[in-house]
Amino acid sequence: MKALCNCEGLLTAFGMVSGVVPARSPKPILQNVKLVANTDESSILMGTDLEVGIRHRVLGMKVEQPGTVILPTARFGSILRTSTDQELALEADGDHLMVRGLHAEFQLPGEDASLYPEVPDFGASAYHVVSAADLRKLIRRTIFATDLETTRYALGGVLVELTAESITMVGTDGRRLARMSAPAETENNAPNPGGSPVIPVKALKLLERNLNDEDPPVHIAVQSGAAAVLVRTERAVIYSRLVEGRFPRYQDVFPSHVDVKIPLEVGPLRLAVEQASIVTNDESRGVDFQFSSGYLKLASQTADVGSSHIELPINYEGKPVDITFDPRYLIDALKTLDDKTSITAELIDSKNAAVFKTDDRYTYVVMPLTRDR
Amino acid sequence: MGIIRELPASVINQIAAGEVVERPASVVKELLENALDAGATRIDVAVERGGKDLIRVADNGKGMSPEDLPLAFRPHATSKLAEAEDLFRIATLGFRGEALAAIAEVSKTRCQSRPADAAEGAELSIDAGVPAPIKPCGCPPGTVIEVRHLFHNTPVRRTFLKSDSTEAGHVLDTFARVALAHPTVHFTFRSAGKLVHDLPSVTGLKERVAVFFGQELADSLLWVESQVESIHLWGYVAHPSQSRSTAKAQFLFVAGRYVRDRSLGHALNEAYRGLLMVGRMPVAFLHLELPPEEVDVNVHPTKVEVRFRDSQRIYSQLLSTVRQTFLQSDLHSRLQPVDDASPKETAPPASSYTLSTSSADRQAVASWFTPSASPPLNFKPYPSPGYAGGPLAPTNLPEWAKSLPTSPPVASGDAFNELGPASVSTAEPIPDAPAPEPARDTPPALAVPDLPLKAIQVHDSYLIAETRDGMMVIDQHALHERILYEELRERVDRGHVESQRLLVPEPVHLSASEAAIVLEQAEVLARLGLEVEGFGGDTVLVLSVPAMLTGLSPERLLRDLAEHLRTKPLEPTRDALVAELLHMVACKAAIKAGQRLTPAEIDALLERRGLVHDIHHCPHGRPTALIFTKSELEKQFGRI
Repeated sequence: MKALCNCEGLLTAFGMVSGVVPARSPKPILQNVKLVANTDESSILMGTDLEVGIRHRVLGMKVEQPGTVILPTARFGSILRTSTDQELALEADGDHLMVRGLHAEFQLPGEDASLYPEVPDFGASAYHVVSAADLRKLIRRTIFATDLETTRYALGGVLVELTAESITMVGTDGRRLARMSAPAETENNAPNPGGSPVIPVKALKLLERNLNDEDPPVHIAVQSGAAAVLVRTERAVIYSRLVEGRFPRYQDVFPSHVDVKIPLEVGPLRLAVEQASIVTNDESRGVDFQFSSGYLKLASQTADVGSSHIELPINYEGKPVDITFDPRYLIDALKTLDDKTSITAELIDSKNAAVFKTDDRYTYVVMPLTRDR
Repeated sequence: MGIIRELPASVINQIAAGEVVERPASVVKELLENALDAGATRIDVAVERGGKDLIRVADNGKGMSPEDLPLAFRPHATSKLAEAEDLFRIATLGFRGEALAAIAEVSKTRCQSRPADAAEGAELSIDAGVPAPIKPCGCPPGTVIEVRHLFHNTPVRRTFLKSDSTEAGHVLDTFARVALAHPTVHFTFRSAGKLVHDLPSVTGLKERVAVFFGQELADSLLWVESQVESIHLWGYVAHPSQSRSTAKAQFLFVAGRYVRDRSLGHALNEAYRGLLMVGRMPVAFLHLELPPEEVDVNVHPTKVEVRFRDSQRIYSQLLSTVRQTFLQSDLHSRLQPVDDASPKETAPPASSYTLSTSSADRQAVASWFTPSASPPLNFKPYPSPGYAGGPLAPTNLPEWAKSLPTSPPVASGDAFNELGPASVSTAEPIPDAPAPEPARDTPPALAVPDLPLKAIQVHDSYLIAETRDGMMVIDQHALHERILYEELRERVDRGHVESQRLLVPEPVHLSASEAAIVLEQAEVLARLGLEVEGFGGDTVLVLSVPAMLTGLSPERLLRDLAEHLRTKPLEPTRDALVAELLHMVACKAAIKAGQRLTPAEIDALLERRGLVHDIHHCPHGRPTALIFTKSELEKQFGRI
């Protein structure tokens, strides 16, 4: 392999790919990334930990002699970041990899590229299409509600439901649940994937970093049989195995009827909740919410820490409702929303789930805290 | 013709023997108890081949006349009981009148006995239940019983016996239990012709403990005593640095009888909660004196189990007594002595003898390590005042027992009030006390809170701090964990426990017994914020979890608690369960070993140290600090 690489193009790809590479692995070769140099501007940099993999296009490669080379992630990353050159020359024979700049030259050990596992490419002809901006929003608003610890359910990821018209993502940790839907299309009449594909958090974070709101639509193909999902963005293909296990029947979580609906605005609400949560701690974390005509009162009280009383005018005339929340659960969700967004709280009583809804098809369910009063 | 017939007496005895006489050790127990019931002050035990070939127990008790001799070996013949009501006020060790008959049925037994006032003794030999005629013989006052060839007529039974050394071990265990229960009686024990133990009568339990368990353990014993109405509890518990992996070193004596009691064993474990590492069992030697009608010993033929009329009260008395002692004591772990075993240079002068006994007890808490402080090893037999009056009938056991704490004539009553400041001050005026004067033994713990500690961190895990009389090595994780635990606990005591409800109730499969107990205790758990309900079968639904533990999976939480509930025989208290939860929280939140601390952080940590009730151990029972006394450092460097 012999090629002249544009440093900037390579660094962009490298930044994205090296995030996947495991720091420690029983298969040491996985601690590297693989560069496939092709003459036709389709050079690819790939990395994988066998759970999640990414193939990222490398721009600005002038390939003299196509081939494949294994790059040690940490060392090569440092070379790229410290290099002042516009371009770097890469040359690999069986034993060595030479990296040359104008004033710098490195010799790195060469490794057998055929030992590096192939990261699957996006091969599907029928797939779902979602706008990049929507997908980013979906990920940001659901990913925080996941629970990486649990083993009972597949909660270490976000459930993705694809239909011909829409995509829905659901994240939950058993105490709160975030669900959001957005429009979607199908290409070549892609069937709705069966089962309940749950994409791990790590893959979603990688995907989110890979997306810009202005990007062209994203292609998603779920391989039910292989228990994997492939996502094609403008610059990369991301492969991820699905989280094994069952996702709880989240539809049962939404109350079938609600007693009161209270319109709220995200910005002021978030501020009020953040203020009230100042005087909570890990052992006493409840903030009491008292919804009454015209006012929402938030109160918290913690031994040794203090107490707080915050009032927020609200546009509500109806029966008063008292409920206690873990404020962090609310803040998590409110942080992902614009301050101007209006949000509706749907409540029953202090024991039942509270539901928050926005106009853009986002639903957030929180179970209240109870206290022996 | 009927098929039911009455069994001949010999068969009845053999059946009884199956219950009472299981192995040589059971014979030794029965014979020793008979000897004690006969008021013996000296008892010699000898066994051959672990007791399989010969068990010989000789006492100097009141003996039996030739007329009594055959009766003694008849079933249900006894001198210790006259009518049914007597069963409820049993003051003797035996009373069933079964043992001798049963033993004689399965062995070759010879009994020689002479009352002190008789001119000559009488001898009775019984071979497998068949008595030979009584003949006169010469013997000292008292009774000698020889049991040869145990189980020779029940070969199956014989094959079930273990090796000689194993059986000898069991016999020795039995012997030790009896000897510990009766320190005022002179015991000897020979096995295979060798003198194994010669235990002159002593005034305290401690010397006996030293013989059986070593001086180090004996020196670490803490005196506990309490009297609630008619129930008198006294004895020793070991410093938490001494522990065992089994409960075998826990001795509970009820009216001089070794018993096992699950509930009291549990009380003891509760008292040590947080002081011992998980899986370690405390060491204790406790006597319980209570009116005979408060306890029913007629539960099991071998009488190792008893029933208390009010076991709950005894449970709480034991728990609070031991707890109280710990709270008043310095429980820092000491560096294990290097050559502490070296005998004391000079025997303590007679004048300070009694003082050193009393200070020995204080040392147990204060500084048993101090190398040159001499624990009085070479005790002479020391007759207690209450013991002077002739042969000691077991009925007056409580008397000598009560006389124990005050037996050193000079020591005031509260010298045993562990480490009350008073006992320290009584020690100070001693002019000619051996090397480090007792004042130096003032427990550092009492002084620690008002000492500004300066500490350095080593290996990012330990803090070394100077104290007034030495230095202290502190485990930063253990200390922080303990501090957090105490703080959490206080906070939780004052506030409410919050409960986070789950969106989807989580089913947890438990074992049948766990599921049953969890559901039984659902109300207690609900007050902790853990709501559960049955889901049919052994599955339990978790509806909500304590908010402070949201990081923990409900399943694990419930399993841990179910395990906790299942292994504790008594009603779980909310406190015990909360403690369990807080342990989990504190451990997660505490700074870890290997974490570098800034000097400010170290200072803050040490400052908070004084605010905590029990700074000696982390909630799991590991010590938080090791003490190196100045004198020990000097000794190590050869300066003294």
